[in-house]
Amino acid sequence: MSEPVEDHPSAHPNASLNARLDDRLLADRLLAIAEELTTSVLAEMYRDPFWYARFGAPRAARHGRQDGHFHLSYVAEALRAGDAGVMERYARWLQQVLTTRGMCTRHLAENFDRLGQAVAARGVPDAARAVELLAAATAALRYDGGPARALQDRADAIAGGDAELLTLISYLADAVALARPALFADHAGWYAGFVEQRGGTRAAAGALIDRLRDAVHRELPEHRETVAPALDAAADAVRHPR
Amino acid sequence: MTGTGIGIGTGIGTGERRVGLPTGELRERYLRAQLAGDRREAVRLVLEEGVDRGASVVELQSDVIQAAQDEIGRLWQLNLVTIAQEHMATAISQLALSALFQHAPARKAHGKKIAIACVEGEQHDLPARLVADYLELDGFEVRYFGANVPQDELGAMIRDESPDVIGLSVTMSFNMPALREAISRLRTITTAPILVGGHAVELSRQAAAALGVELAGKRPDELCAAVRRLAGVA
Repeated sequence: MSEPVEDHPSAHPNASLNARLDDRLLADRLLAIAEELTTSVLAEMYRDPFWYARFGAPRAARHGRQDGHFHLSYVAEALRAGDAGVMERYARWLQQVLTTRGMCTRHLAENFDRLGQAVAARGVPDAARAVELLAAATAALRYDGGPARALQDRADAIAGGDAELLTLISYLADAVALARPALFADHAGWYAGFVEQRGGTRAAAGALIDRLRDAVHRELPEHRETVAPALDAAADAVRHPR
Repeated sequence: MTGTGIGIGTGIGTGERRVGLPTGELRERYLRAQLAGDRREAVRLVLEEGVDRGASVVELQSDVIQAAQDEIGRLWQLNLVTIAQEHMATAISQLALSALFQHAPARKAHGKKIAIACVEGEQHDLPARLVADYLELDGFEVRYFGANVPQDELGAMIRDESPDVIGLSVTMSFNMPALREAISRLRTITTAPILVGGHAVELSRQAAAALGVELAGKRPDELCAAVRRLAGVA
């Protein structure tokens, strides 16, 4: 901040105008290749059997494609407006839309990240600007505070390297943020069935919930009361399939 | 109950002083009627509990109907209402707005005209309709074209009507390219000021500036003041 203004590149009268024109050009380029980008992101994402199992192949494909185009249309709007806030507000809005419909925040962040990688890999000029906007969207998915944020911040310590637990923690954080324990229970109940389909047992899914509870108590003792209703409801949903 | 009280009215015509419901409570009851699909009750609430008890029409449009619609949008976001319920609720608000419109004492006409349209592809017409109603009651001559107006036809109507101000509404972000196209086409036809509104443009104050147009305020008083200024109404 202490450097003289005239030394800063953006102080050149044409620099900011040129940057705006570059951003608009980038917006057009991204929309022109939206279908390809979306297809490549989904091809990677749907290697995980979760998506087809959870939503069914047609719905996963339809919504996944639609979401990809949506993300890119917001990136384009953010570029045209010169306002990263467009992506941040979109991310928070979409977070509520999707976490109340069977997805978790981690899935959304993964989707933004993969899209950023796909944009970078295409060698589009100025791709870094779009990647920054997608990173801003991912950053906006952090909850403002309280136990939901604490779960996000301590997720790695709670999961102890277990990828399945990382996803479960994200579902838990979302249910806590929304004060809707039933959302976590619904996911846990579905997850137990998914484990069974893959040759596991409901007891194994139940054991995972128990491990999650122990880890939350260990890492976030100050939030154990707030998180308890969601964990209790989940344990019940796993034990008693509907 | 806190919040603005609606209508500690005088009960015009009856000579009796009647105390109306607080705005928040009226909005909650209206919302419940909407979600229950009870068209008659929704209209009864805004007329009998609102207008008849001295609430202003603009307050009912804004703090009850528009606010309830915002809440429906939030409930959809949280997956607490379905798209079908949202559509049912919105249809009820169209009905309630029509009923209110009939009871609205318009300000004296000042001879300025505004044309209001949703851009091509935009199906959400309630926000634009509210704007049309607010401005008509504020003395504007309003031409309201509704949802999804084809680009060519918008241009032709603007040529025919020669409005003093043009209002364009866009709710969904994927219709932003249509907004941009509409603005660039209109710029070849007219120099009338263009005002934009709706969820998609409200996402960023900078978006309207980048388009070289004005952003419509969400509150009716802000909106009317902005359009009056653009139209040159004293």
